[in-house]
Amino acid sequence: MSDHGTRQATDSTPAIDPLVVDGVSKRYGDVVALEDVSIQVDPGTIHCLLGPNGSGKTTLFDVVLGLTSPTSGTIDRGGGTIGCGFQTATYYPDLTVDENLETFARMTAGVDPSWRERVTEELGLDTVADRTAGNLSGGWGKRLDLALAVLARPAYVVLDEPLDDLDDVVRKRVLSFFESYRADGGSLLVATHRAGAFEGLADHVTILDRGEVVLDVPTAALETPLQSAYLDHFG
Amino acid sequence: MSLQSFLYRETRWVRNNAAALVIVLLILPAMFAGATLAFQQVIPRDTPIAVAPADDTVNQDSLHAIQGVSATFSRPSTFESRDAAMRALAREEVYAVFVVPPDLLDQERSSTIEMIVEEEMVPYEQPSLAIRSLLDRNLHQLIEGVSVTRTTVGEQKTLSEFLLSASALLLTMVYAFVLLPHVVASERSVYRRIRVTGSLGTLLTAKFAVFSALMVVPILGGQAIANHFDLAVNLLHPTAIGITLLTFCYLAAIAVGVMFLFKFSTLGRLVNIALLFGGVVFASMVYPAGFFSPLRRTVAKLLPMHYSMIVQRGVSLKGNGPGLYADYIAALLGVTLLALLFLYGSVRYYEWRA
Repeated sequence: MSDHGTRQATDSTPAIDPLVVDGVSKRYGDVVALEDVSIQVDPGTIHCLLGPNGSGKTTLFDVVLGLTSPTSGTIDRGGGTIGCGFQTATYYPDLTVDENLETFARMTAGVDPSWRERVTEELGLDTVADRTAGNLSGGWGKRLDLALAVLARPAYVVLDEPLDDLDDVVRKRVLSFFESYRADGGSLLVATHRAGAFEGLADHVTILDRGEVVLDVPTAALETPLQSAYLDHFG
Repeated sequence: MSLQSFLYRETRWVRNNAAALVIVLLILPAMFAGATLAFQQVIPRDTPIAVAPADDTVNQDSLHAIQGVSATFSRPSTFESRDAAMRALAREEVYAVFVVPPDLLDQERSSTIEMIVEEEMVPYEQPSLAIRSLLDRNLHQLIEGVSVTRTTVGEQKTLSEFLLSASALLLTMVYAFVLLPHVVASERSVYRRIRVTGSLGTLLTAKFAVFSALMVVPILGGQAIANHFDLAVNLLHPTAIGITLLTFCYLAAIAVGVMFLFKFSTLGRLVNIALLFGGVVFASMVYPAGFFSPLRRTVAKLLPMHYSMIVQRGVSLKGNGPGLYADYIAALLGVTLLALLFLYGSVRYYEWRA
């Protein structure tokens, strides 16, 4: 577990407690998707969730987001708001980029217009603001999904494969955005198979295998690079 | 690429959509074939009619005699008074009223049976003329000196006026079973995000509010056409608008509930199309219930759209007040509540299964 602990209140964000997943199991009939999973996402950190396909990452996300109920165990969101970015596009395809941002801004009370502008600019979405979202390429769609995830400036942002479909330049830009989001006190729980991309950025890593946590440590405690730690486990 | 490779793809498509194809190619045609059984004749023999005494002196034998004679071309019911029968006529519980005179079975005196039909029930006009002739001929064979007169109540309407009144609800069925489910399904990719940032219930509430408001547009269009061609139909009667929106609400709740239940699959769309066709065929919204067969009459009496149409026609075409249909409206409100509960259950099931 990370040692960041409770985030202190700043001018823009209230103090919140860690997001705690405690002993969560999820079964679909005889199929065990998660088995006694416990993780803690501390405020102001980037927490990487690694694991091969079918390891239970998406199920864990759904449990954290409240989209599915755990068979047993508890989720404590630490009193913070939560945003989400999914693996597939989850925006209105018939609306423009700007209209999507406006729609979801209206759904969430208190979206700061200057923050929305900053997110739009940092992710480069201001250049495609008038384009119909359904016509966006995969990379642009991913950026819009990310913008929607952080639009309300939630304390915790849960992202499923946020770097997919992004070219190297954009990926660097997005990672830089993650860094600034953390610097502002936000926290990210990121499921990814691109462990290398989070080298030097992730504060904590959890590796899932067949629904069980097989590694859960601060990245500072790793003796090998993140990518190697991941590959070594499954190698 | 060879034709063979495309054929391979098509065979995979057939396999992956087997359930939908079974419905389209097997069940729907079977339903159509089966539905033809519900159309047994083109001259009505099973439309409900009322047999009522002209006054208190009419004896039961006279009423039974008319009931027996009219049973060959209709489904008669005896009412205790002319007023009660006329009320049933206005509510489309019956489509004609036979008023039996007190001296019907007195062979030494001539008597006249009054057959009352509504002018506004246009598709029943010609059949009612035929029925009057039939009754007249049959009675002559049994009782001498008895004649049948045909009286109309209400305002004479054209077929255009009658159909325009019905079209508002028929279009509502199309919007509810086709348009709204299509829109809801086309946005399904965003529902995971909505479930985190808001709720599907709120989303559907907004959608129902907007589409209900949009329903007013075809009503206005229909009324504009009516005004332009001097058709005597009042689609803008508050009760007519209200019943159209209520009908849209319960039908849309069922249709959208089906979409959630079937996870927006092709199967769900086909179920909705089947429901749409079933409603059009069996709800007897244009022709009187029992016009084509007793089966259609029985099924129509079980369908809420049938009562929506009666109320809609009553206020927009006949100029009746909504009080006459208070029990129908109350029942439709109950149906709407049940439909919304079905939708709620379907959404919860979708969320639980997603």
